[in-house]
Amino acid sequence: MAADGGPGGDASSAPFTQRLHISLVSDAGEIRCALDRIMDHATTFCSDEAALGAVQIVLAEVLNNISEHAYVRRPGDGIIMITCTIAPGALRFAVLDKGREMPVAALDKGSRHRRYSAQEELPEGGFGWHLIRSLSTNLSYARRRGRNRLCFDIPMAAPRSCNKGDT
Amino acid sequence: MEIHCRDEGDIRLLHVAADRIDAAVAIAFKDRMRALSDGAPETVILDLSDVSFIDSSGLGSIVAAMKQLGSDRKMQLAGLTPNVARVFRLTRMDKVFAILDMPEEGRAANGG
Repeated sequence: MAADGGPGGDASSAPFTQRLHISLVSDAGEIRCALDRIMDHATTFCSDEAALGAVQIVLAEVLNNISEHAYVRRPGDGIIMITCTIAPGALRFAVLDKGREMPVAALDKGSRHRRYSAQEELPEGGFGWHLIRSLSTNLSYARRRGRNRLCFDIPMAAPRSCNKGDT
Repeated sequence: MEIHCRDEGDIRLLHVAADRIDAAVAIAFKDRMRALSDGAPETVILDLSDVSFIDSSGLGSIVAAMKQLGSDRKMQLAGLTPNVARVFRLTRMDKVFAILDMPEEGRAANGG
């Protein structure tokens, strides 16, 4: 996994924005490491525990989807690129992969509140998109030049140290 | 996947000694739970107080573990940390499982 976000990296020059880029392969262990790295970065700028929790849930589901669906033909070996931008009021993510095209229907379904009755009917999967849609905003997907690009925001309370200049 | 098992009367207490139940460990978790469910008494309490994060694969493996118990036995969950409780709530699985605050509450409720 490679990351750069320091002053010599791709930290944006915008005053209230900090960026972190991470590249990883679609392996469960690498996904864990990438999540840890992003959580460390987000924690530096965000003290909103609920938002940080949402980042972990949504990003894990997005990365698992890429690993299990986009790269189903090359398990554990597909390139994923994540950009995390700290913006006022939100943690902004762009996630790129070169795997299979995503079924757009996944984005369009409403955030259904399911009810389950009998134990036999209980699903053991299919929760991922529901969690992503429930916790993120500005969710968008584009397929360009053989790449999938999924963008989303996680709303957060006032970011830490984003107003350094104010006294 | 480390899960500590202890029987107290008619309750089997399973304590998950892991920080997360995610895609990386979901299958191992399911397999370990299957082994630990063998010969279990009527009530199985899964103590998740050490688990700070589950993803949908982890949730699925907990659902699978509950199904493995069959209709004669029930699974209760205890010690849900905030982000784990949120995943259960958002997927409405909090209505499917009996959720206890702490393992002690389960023992008291069951007369143990």
